[in-house]
Amino acid sequence: VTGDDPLSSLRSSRPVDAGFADRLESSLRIQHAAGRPAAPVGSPWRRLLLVGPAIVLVVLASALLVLRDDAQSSALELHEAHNVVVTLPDGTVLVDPVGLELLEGTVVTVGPGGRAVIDDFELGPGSMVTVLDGALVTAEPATTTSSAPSDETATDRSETPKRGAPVDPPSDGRSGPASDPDRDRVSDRGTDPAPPVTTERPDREATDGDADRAPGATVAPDPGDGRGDVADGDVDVGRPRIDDLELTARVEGDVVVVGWRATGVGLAELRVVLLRSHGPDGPDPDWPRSGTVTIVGETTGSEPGEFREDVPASGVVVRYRAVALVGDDVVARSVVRTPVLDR
Amino acid sequence: VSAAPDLDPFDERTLVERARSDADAFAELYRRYVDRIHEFAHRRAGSREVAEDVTSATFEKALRSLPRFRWRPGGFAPWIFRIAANELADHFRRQGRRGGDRACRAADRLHDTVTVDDLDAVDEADEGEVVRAALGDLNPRYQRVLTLRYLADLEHAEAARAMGVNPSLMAVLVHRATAALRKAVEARQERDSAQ
Repeated sequence: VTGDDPLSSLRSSRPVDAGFADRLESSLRIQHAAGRPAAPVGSPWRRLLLVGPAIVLVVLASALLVLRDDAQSSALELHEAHNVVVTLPDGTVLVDPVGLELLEGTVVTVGPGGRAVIDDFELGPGSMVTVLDGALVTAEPATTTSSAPSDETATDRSETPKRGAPVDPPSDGRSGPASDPDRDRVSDRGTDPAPPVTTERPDREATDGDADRAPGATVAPDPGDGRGDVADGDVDVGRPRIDDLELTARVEGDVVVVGWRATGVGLAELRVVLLRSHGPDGPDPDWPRSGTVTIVGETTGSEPGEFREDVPASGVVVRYRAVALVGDDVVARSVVRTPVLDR
Repeated sequence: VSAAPDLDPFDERTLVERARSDADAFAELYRRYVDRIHEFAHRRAGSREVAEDVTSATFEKALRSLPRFRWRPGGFAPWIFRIAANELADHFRRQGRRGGDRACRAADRLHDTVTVDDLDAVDEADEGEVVRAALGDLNPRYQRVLTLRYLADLEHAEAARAMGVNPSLMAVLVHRATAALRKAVEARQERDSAQ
C-alpha cells in the first residue's frame, strides 16, 4: 500500500461484456419509455435472491389487505329478491335490486308473497329489517314506554374505552353470577326506580327451565361489559360528543333489567338503540349479522332507557348492544350479555 | 460498446438535458459511461457478476434520479460515480451481513488446480484480495474516498465533487483513508501469518 496509489493492486479489470451492456441498454430504454424500472439486468439467480423476499412480502401484504377489506367492508348483499322494496338511507326506493350492497341505514321490506335472501338469511313475506351496526335488525315494538327521572345509583356506570378498544370481544362463556361487587350491591338492593324509558319484551324467549333459574343472579358482562366503544374519530365539530355510553344488565328475580344512557355534549340529535340477540350456550359467537338481532328499545339524547324481559332459558345466552347513532352513523356502542345461569 | 469520456462539457450538458425526456439521449449517455462504471465496480469487487449488478443498479438509479440532477462544475461524471460508489458500499454492506463472498471464493480456491507457472499470478491475486478485503474493513466514507480517487480514474477535483467535498478536504480524507487502509492490510497480514 503506497501513498501514490494504495489501490494499485486492484487496477486490473475486465472489460464489460458486450452482451450485458446491450441488454442493460435495452432495459434502460424500456424503463425510460415507461417511466419506471423494467426487469433488472444481471445475474438472474442473484437478482431473484435479491427481489424474492420483496415479492413474498408484497404478496403477503396484498393478501392481508384483501382479508382486512373483507373483514371491514363485507357489506350485506341482497342475493335474491322478489317483491322486495329497499329504501336507501337517502330515501331512494328500489324494487328487487338484486346484488345491491346494503349499507348502514338501509331498510328492506318484503311484500306479500315476497322473499328476500341477504347473505345467508332469508326474509319472508311481511318482514322488515334495517341494516344497523353491520347487522340486519328487526324492529320489534315495545309494549310500554314511560318517562321518569333516572336514578344514578340504579345503574352501573360503564367506562368509555379509548378508541380502538374491543367492541364486542368473545365471551369466555363462563356461567354463574358476576363477581363485580358493585353489580352485586345493585342487585342485592333490589332497587329499581322507574327509569325514564322502559320497554318490555312482550313474549318470552323460551319458557323451558324458567323454574330452574337462579333468582337474584347478576348478569355477567362480556369481557368488555359496559365498555362503550366511542368512535371519537367520527365525532366532528358540531356533532355530538359522546363521553360515555352506559349499558348495564342485571337480574331481578325472574327479570333481566337492561339500562342504558349516553352522556356527553350536544346530544340533541343522538339516537340510542338497544339491540338484542340470543344464541346457544358455549363459546359466544360474534355479534350475529342477521337472524336474531332485534331492536328492543330506543331513546334520544341523554335520555336514559331501560328494557326488561324474562331471564333467558337454560342454554340460551342473550346479548344486548347499545348503539348510539347520529343519522345512520354509529358513534358509540356498548355490549353486555346475560350469563348461562346455573340451574 | 465504446466509451467516450473526453466530452465537450457543453455537449454533455445538452445531452443530459435531453436525456431527461429522450431515451436515445439517455442511451448515448449510458454508452459513454458504462465501460468506466463497470471497470470501477470490477476493480473494487473483483467479480464480474458483482460488477454487472452494480453497473445495472447505478444506471437504473441514475435514470430514476435524473429529473433531480442539477448540472454542476465537473459535469455528469462525479454524479454517476457517486451513485456507483454508493451502490458498491451498499453491496458490501449487504455482503457483510451475509458473511461475504470472500468465504466462497476461498472455498473455490481450495479446489483450483494451481501450477508452478501460475504462482506469480496467484501471488498478485492474493495481494489484490488482501487489499480488497482490507478496503472492506474501512468505514464506508473512507472506502468511497479511496475507490473514487484511485479506481474510478477521476481527477482529484472530480473525485472531490463525487464525494461532495472541496479538494482540500478530499486530500485530507485520502491521506487518512490511505493510512487506515495500510493498518487494515497489516492487520490482515498478521492474522494470516499467525494462522
